Amino acid sequence: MKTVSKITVLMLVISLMMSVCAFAAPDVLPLDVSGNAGGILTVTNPASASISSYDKQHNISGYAASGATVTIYSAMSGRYCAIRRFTVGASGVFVQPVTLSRGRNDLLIRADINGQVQYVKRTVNVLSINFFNLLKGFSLN
Amino acid sequence: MKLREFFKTLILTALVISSVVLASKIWFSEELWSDGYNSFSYNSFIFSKISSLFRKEPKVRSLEYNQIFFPKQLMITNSGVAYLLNPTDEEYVPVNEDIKQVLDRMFEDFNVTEIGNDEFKKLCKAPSVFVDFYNNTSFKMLGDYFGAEDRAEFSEIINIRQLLITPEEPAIYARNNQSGKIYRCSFNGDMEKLLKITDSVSENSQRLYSYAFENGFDLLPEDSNGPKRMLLDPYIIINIGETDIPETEAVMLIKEKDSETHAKFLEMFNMGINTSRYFSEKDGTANYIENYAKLRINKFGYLEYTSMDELKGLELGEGISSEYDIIKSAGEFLEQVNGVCPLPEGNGYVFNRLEKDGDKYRVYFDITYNGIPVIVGSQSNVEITVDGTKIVSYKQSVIAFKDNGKKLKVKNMITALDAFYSVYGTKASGDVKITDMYNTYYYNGNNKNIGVKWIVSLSNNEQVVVEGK
Repeated sequence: MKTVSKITVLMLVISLMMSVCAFAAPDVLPLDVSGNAGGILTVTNPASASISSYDKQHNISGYAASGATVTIYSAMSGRYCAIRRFTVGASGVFVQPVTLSRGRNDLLIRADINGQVQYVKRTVNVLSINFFNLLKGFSLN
Repeated sequence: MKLREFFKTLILTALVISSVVLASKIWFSEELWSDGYNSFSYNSFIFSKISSLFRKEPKVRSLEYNQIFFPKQLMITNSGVAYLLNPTDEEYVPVNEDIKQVLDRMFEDFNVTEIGNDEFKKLCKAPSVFVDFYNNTSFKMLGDYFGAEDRAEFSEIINIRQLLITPEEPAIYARNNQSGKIYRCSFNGDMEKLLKITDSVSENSQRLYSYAFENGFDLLPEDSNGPKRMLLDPYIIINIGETDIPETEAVMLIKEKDSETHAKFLEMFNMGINTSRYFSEKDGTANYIENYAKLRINKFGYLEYTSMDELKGLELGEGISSEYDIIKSAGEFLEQVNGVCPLPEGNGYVFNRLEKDGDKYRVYFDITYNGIPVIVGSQSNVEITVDGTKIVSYKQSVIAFKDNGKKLKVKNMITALDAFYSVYGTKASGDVKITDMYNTYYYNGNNKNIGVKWIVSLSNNEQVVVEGK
């Protein structure tokens, strides 16, 4: 009888740990990751899938379902690595400053709540100031 | 015999002189009648001129630029990165003084053109100084302050709560926040000081401050299935940094049953302690009534003057011809009243708003502590009603504030938005927008320790108070 209850407890603990692991945002994700839900995340900045900027400092902003955990990933060495993780409050509004590197920055924003996961991909191309000046120079001439 | 006559004449002459001096004192200096009971009312102009020769005018400091046009924050931007100056910051005062000089220069001569929203948004991210006022102002009001001549364009450049100054190309941009129109006022001027300020922004600073439009909070998202939120005015500054603000406590400036102070206040309102009828209410509120005027002072320092005849009241003086004149004169009168109980360091008064009610104007002033307005019992601390050139009603809580030694970490804007949604979000209809968010101290008359709140202003004119710490 005792052995049976021990096994039950062990099974419960394992299943609980597995469920936690399944719901918590992983630190690393493959590039082809996909979610299982929609309508829980809106990314307003960057507003479109790909933007160009010459600012290295950028804000990732948007709305998520109240209480959702939002994780921001950046693509590095063929996978997405988590760079920010936070829980949104009652407003669902979030603004997270991130420092980007010059060139192409592939970002993935993940929201998860109650087992529902949604991903939004954004690309920010950070132009070099010199490149920007070069363009300005061309337009002047 | 001759000596006796001489003494009699001397005594009589002295008596005549003293009676003339004392009578003139009573008539012109003490003025023991109220305006409504003036025996010389048939020719009050002549008597007021004569009496002004005898009366000592109180020393009134004219209202300063900052007291009328009070920016809640200044945002300095360069290369998309910005830093914010609040009235509690040391740098705020000199930068605001530079802005005043630039405005002064602009009002000498400028060209006005209208520009689009997209161009304005680009300029906001360029090297610029963004001046964010607490309340709407107008070019007519600013022009009057700087002594500029009235121009036809002034009638359109109204409801201005923000100005943008671009020092690289001398121009000031003003946005009418009702019509959404943006005006570029270009001028020739030395912008060296503001250029130095915008150049001081470090490219590598974190983006703690940004406009709502940069975060996409002013537009409906393209993805219509996503979570819905209230839209924000595009030019609200999103501040995700935390601020340390000292906690304060109230200081009563009027002691209970302080007849000496009461007498001084009565004098301010052209009443006399010896000539007015007095009675006290159950709670100790002192009431003074003299002909057409009534002054109440309660134990919490609340002072209320009412002229019981609209034709009477306190004369503000000649030359009141514009709304700016009304604000200025009302403000100067407030300064005069504050002279009775001088404000401790760190306290001050700033103009809040002007409301028109028929022929009357209501001028509101806020008390500030360390540059942050204090809302007293959910309203402005001073309300002055002006009818023509007369004050017919005056209300003020004669209180001040001081540090209680504690520092408060004030919630950042996103946390404040969360608190706002907890209390209001579900009530919001789709059309209501958030038009402004700022910090104030909030004193309800009882709270000993006065902390900071966030005020969320909505497009339906509601203001929601949210806990700040």
